[in-house]
Amino acid sequence: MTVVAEGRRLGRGAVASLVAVALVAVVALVGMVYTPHDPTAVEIGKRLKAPTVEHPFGTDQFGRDILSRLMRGASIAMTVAGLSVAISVSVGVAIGALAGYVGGWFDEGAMRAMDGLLAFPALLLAITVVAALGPGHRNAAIAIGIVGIPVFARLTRSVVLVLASREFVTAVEAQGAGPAYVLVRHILPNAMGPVIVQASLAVGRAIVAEASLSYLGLGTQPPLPSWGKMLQEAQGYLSLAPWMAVVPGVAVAVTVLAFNLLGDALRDLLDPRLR
Amino acid sequence: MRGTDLLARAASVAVTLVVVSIFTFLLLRVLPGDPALLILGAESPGDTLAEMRRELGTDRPLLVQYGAWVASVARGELGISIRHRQPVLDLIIERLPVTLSLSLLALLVALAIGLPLGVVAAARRGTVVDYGALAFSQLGQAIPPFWLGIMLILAFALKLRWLPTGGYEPWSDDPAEALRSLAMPSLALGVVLAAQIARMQRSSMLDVMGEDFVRTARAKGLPESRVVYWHTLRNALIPTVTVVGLQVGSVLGGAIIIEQIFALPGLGRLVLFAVVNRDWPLIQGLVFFLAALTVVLNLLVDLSYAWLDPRTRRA
Repeated sequence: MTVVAEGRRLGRGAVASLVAVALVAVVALVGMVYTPHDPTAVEIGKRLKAPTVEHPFGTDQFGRDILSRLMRGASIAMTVAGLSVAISVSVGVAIGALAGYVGGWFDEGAMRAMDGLLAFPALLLAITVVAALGPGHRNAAIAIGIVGIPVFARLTRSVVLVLASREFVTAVEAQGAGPAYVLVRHILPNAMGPVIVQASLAVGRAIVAEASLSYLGLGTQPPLPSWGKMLQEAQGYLSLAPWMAVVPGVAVAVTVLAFNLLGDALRDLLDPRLR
Repeated sequence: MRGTDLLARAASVAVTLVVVSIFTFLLLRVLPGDPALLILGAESPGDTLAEMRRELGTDRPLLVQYGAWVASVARGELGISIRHRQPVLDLIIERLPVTLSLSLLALLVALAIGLPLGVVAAARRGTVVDYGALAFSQLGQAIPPFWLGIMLILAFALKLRWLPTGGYEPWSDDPAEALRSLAMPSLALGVVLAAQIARMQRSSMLDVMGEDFVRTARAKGLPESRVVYWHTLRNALIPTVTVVGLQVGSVLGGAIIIEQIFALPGLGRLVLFAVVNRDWPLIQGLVFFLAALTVVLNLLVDLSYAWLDPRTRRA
């Protein structure tokens, strides 16, 4: 296959993933202010109705409109994912940048701590943090954010180590610039490419983690709708109302796929080392 | 691997285990929230709370608590479960076979799907087979395992009625039934890893195929199948093994939720029982055990490099 053909294929994937991410973002934003029905309104007379024009994705065991719950669920999923990735990135990049640039005992200590965090199975660590903080979507976001810190710390450290020995950094240092200035103004901006790539992939992981925690009853709490909780409720009505289980799962998969593809596309664009 | 390398590796594992023990301990204490209060509820009288704090040992200074806990772990004790009134280690040992069977079967499923797919995709690069494998690996990594589990129940248990919707049959009672009860759970858990393996195996096969020794093998006139399966495959396995090693934790973590979906009485369900019932000693013991298990399994994966790639034996 020629390079040109491969380039064009990547281009299409990038555009498709951007469109999909934008679509999810629009659904999430609209879901914050508008849904066709009240996502929490119970209407027992309409329970477990198969998809119709009025309820395109059917209704659940309390007669609630699944489309409306899906839209509000999208807002919650994206909020939790955004918050958790913001925690992972800000703390992880700070630790990694300091470890890579300062070195010495701080580097040694920080990296051992990150190894320790990575040793925990991710979902187990998230469950434990939620157990300590109490269930709910904000605490789930904190838990998922903590789980993601070591990934960004290690990544940033490795990139900073490479950049710190480059000529342009030596040149700035020779001009008498202080370490904080060199790190923040010259090294970190150049290290952002791989971090942005990883952040896109981390959004996908966070969506699955939020759905998992909510499925287990530890994430988003009722009556707030969450994709994971919707799946957990659907499992009790699999024979009667299979649509209840199909729709939220497709929502999770499409969202994660979109962010994963975006991450891959960004990697090709921003991270020449992996080309 | 030389003796000194082995020692260095063992030392780093020991350091990680110490860090893991500190995190496990601090996680449940430094984070806001009084375990005694969480266990008994906010309305309980002060002296009952004090009694619970004494039982949990949370009335003592942090360092003393940590020291006592590490000493008991070193003796092979993980504390006593508040709800079960049984040693945590006994509870773990009782349920470990379920979680290990599930994880190992999931790993087998992942290798059985992922490896051949990656190899064939690389050998037929740019064909429909290759694109199919790519699509599988993207979808497999996007579909949440617990949703796949629910869909499998819908298809194979409720519609086709081939397999039970959940529950577990011990291997010692009936191996065939045990396998039937673990078939869907291990497939649901294994597909994500299969997707990652397929992707990694494909790209490392392509890397290896560009190397000189493969060109030499072709130049000698060896048949293409021998070049692919004999010369390339073994060398391309190393990055895949790394991926498998890195995913040990996610397989064990994934088992928590898969056990819940299929009502399998393993460690994952015990974790949830502990969290829902605020059984602090049980949470602490389980979390430490599972993290330590992950560290040890990762070490085993590292050691397997030496067998796969003789070059690393001297490195």
